[in-house]
Amino acid sequence: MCGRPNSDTAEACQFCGARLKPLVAGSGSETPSQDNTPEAPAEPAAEESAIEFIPDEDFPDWLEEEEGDEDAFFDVRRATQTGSLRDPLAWLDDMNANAAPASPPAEEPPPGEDVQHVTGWLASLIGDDDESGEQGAEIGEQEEPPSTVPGLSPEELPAWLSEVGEQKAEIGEQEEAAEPISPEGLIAADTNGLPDMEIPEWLRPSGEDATPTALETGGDGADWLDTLRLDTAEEDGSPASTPEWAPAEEEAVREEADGSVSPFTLDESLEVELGALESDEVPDWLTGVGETSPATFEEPVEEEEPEEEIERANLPAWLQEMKPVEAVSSPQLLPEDEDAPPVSAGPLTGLRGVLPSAIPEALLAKPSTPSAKLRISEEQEAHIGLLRTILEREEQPESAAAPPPVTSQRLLRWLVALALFAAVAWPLLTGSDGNILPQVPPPEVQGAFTQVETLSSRSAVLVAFDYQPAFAGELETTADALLAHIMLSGAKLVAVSTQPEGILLAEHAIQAHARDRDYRAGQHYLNLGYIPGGVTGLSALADHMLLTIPQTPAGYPVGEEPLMEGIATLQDFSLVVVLTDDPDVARAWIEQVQARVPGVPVIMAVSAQAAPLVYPYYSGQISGLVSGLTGGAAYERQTGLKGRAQDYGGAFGAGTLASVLLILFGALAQYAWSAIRGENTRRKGGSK
Amino acid sequence: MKFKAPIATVFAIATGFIVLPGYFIESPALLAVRTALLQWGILLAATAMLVGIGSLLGAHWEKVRTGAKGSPYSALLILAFFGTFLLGIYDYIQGTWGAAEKSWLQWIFNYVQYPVQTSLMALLAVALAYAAIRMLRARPDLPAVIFLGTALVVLAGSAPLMGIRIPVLSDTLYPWITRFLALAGARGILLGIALGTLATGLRVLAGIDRPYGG
Repeated sequence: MCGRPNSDTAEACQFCGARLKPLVAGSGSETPSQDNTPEAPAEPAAEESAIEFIPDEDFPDWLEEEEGDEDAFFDVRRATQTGSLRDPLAWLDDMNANAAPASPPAEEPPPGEDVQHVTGWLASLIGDDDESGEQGAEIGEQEEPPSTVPGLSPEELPAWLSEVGEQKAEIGEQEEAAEPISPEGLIAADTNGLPDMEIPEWLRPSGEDATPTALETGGDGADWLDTLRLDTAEEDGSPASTPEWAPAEEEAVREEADGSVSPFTLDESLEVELGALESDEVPDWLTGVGETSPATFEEPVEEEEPEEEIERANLPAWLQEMKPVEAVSSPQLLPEDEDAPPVSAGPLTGLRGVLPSAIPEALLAKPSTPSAKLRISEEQEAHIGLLRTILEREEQPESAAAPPPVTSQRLLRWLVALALFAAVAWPLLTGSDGNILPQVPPPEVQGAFTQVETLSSRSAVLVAFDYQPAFAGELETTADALLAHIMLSGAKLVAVSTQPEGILLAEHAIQAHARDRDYRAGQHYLNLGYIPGGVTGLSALADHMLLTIPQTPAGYPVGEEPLMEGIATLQDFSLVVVLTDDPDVARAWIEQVQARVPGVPVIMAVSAQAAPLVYPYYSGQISGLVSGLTGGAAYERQTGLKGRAQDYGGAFGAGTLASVLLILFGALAQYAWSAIRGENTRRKGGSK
Repeated sequence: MKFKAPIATVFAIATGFIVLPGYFIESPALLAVRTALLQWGILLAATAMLVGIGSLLGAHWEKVRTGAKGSPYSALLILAFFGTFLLGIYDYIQGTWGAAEKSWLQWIFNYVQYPVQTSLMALLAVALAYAAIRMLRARPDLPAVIFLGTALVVLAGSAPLMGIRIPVLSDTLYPWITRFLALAGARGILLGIALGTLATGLRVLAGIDRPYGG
């Protein structure tokens, strides 16, 4: 296989391991030449190895059914007996090599006559050279050529062959010649025994119409062929004439017989087939098949599998595009490795280059995924672009019209502010009190006044400053007269708050009166500061005041303060005054403190907004209530003190009047304006 | 009844049953326990205020750090907080805490917080007047008319309008509204609040409501 020299005694190549000698006898080296006629016993053995018979039962049914005549039977049988069927592709190769130089004889019948003896598909194959070449290539690719055809022993020969053998024996006895009985001879004898009508013309050994067949191309080197020719010539009584193209065929057969062709010459055919697979091209030996005589196409009759080509032709375009052709038939996948070691086991023992030595990377690589790109037409692209444009417009926010710098509503807001400011400022500038003092103080104010009037210099008053700084203006004005009344009574004032800012609010409110009355912290009043915990702190204050407020804001113990002498609990206070703007805070003081110290009266000074929710407690829980600026003014009138409530009364009245007028007329004007605009809108809608 | 936090539930219910009888039974033991529990509550409330202050500072510090919208105001809040805190500490050290004339903290309140918050409240009067003017334009229906009419009556009757007293409005209508209608409504609200508080207290004592979690 490798072509390197080896010793004659070596059975296998020492370089590549290929077997040099055939496994069976009858190799080329032992093929007898014309001059050296082999012995009779050895010849049948050699022929059995090279020429093997196919049993009748092994013939395909289609062949028997389709042809059904002896011609096809003999065609196939003759082809199997030519010895070239060791490799059905090998003889085609040989024929291809010899067909070019050998011009067909002038006497060669037209192909149409021979087509009658071949199958239908072969006839179509002959009719189209190109197609036949492709089909042949495909057949060669798909068929696995049989290496050998098992031979038949003489006992297994069919009856007709046995008869032929007997006739041959008789002939041999008559001719007293111990010539070997070759299969060709058997066929010739058999054909001679058949009627002339059943013998195809091409099978006739002589005659001008005989078509050269593989049987006749046995070459000069085959003695049995000469014998066959002689026998047929003698029996027919015609001289053994050889066609003009015969020498070339015989020369090729002779060369094949003379060469040391081992049974492994099949490997070369396999290599050719692999080469065909790799290149996806029609091999050279098949390109000339269509140009050869029809008889050369008798061999592929064995199998008929052109279906794959038909199926492939029927594949839709999209399926062909999806077929991973590159991954399967890429030449890179099956590289021809001549340097690869021979196969050491299996039916391919001794062969090299048949199997790849290594798995190509292409097989290991991830197959290319088919492209999933969507095919769209121009019209669809236009529709997509239109849809995209619409969506982009939807996503873009509409540019709202910039509001004018001066609108009617903005102007109205400014007008309201200016009107209120003017209404409040004018009484303050003119000093008008607005006659805010009521004719008769309300009973709740009188109740508060009564409670304060009972205080003495030994009394202690707990004042809670529980309001937000925002309401300080209203509450300080409301409680101004009340605080002044308490201070004038000489009672001790203790300030607390549940608000973090309470301590500052208390100082701010007390200092408003302390400047004029020499009212000092620690001596006249004591600010205990913040009571944390909200309602819980008030409950604890009612239970244990000194425990809840242990120290003053300055860090001194509350119990040690001189002002707190004799005061340990809320029961020690003569009055509890709550200043708040929140009804919930007022309720917490009532629920948590007043209920715990029922003997201590509680009065409240609240914002006007909290008065409605606090006033219900005036029936029993609280002893007096001063609410809003009017309540403070009423308390001032009750006490006769001149306080801030009277000073602010004119501004308060003017502001209230301005508010009432603005709301009244403004609301009416707005309602009328909206009604007119609504009517105009309806008119516009109706006109449309 | 299945509790997720049985310890907290038991403690809450036990606290309620200890504190509540103290309002009806004169017992020094119950009073001592109740006082201790109330003091704990006051400490927790004060601690919660500190936590709230810390959270407020953290939120505004995050806005300053990230440069979010309004971060200058957050920075001003932080500066004001620490400035006020330092002045309060200074007053405490100097012993001027509670002395209005010498306290820096009182100065800040008198001249910063007090005017600012009072002015904001004054702006509320303008905003409410403007809203009342536009009320009928937005909702020209009967409830709006009744609401606006009542407000006008109360405003007009709450004070003498530049020395002018409207006979019916100031002497009859305003007292009737404030003493009967408003009082009836306020009593109803207060009674509802009291009943709701009682029901909530009973549910907490029974463990049905667990505002403390669990």
